Amino acid sequence: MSSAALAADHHDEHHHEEHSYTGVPSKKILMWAFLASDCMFFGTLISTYIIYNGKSLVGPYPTDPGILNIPITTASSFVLLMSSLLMALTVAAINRQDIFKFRLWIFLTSVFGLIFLGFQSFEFTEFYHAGLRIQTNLFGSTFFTMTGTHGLHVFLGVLWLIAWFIYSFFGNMKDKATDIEVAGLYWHFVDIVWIVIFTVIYLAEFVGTGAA
Amino acid sequence: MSDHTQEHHDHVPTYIKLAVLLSVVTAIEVAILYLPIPSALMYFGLYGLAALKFGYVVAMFMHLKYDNKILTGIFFGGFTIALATMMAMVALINYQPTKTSHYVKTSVELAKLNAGNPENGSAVFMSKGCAACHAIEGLDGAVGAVGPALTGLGQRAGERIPGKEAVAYIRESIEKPNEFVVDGFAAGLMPANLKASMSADEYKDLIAYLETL
Repeated sequence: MSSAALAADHHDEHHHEEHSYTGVPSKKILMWAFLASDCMFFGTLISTYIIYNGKSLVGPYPTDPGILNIPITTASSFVLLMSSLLMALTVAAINRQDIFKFRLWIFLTSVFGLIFLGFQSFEFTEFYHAGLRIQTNLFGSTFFTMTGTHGLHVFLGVLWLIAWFIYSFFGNMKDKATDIEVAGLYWHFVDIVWIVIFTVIYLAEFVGTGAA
Repeated sequence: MSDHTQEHHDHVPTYIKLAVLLSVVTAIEVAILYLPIPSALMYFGLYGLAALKFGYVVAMFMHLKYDNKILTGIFFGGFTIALATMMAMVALINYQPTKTSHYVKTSVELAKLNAGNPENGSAVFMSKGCAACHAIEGLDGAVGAVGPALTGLGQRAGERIPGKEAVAYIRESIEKPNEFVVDGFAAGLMPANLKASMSADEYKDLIAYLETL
């Protein structure tokens, strides 16, 4: 199917939604605008991390044993990537008005989000025991602020999805496809921010060290 | 409606293929770290693959490829501003036309820069009068016995106070000499203002020298 046909299709499908003069649901425009601004938010946090990387006067340093852990973070990144797939399936299900699948996928998306947060709690605890606190050094303050903000995004996303999961048992989901799609956009965004963090903060730190 | 159903059914296999692709790309990213290739090539590969993943999620999972182009404009407008600001910040933060300070890239380089020169430290030790009270084997003139002898200090310093590293112990002993007094010696004899009598470089050199004892 051509992209034009798909676009037209979508236009049709949301005819009952409130549209802006562009023909796009206002909620979707709002979400994309928010995500654009969130790019700047995370951009600042990530560049602050990069700028202060290697400038800590005392340890623990990123590559010290017990600090950045590539195998564990690879696993958590995988979980978040798969949650994006589940989210895409959730949106596809609600577009078909397949409520059973919708509930299954949105529930699993939330569970995967929680697993990711579990990995992050484990990581933060490990760092704490290795002597890295937010006030320890520049690495600690920039790292925890950045990944903590991301974790908070994931947490809010989980609450949002669970709220829709619960709502689906009591409310009418017939005209809620756009709302779910908007929640999905937020969820995928949190995933792409992690794609960047995983590469720039975790993997790039080990370039030239020979082994992760 | 049947058309819609068909369309969305068609998307599911695409999503699954994409998820497999994203997993494989992530695995390749990690594998790159173990390859015997130059660092520049590693960065190129890592950032390139991350951009690929980013693009696919935005285009397919977030549907931007099929959606109204105004959404692409809104998102990438903000994204471009964010990326440009990031690159400008990272590039310019260390731009120092007059080179009044040092630029270091890693914590290891910084530690090297901050480390004193132990070879100058013994001269500082003598010139500041430390030798009048402290003896060091092999250092001419350092024969004082008012305070503890410092031969082997580098070994002992880390074990004096549990949880305190050698350097921290040596610094404390100079800056706050009465905080911890070695058994058999009286408190209050060592001047507490010695650090003020030397320049920052002299102090670093002295600490570096004492660590080697």
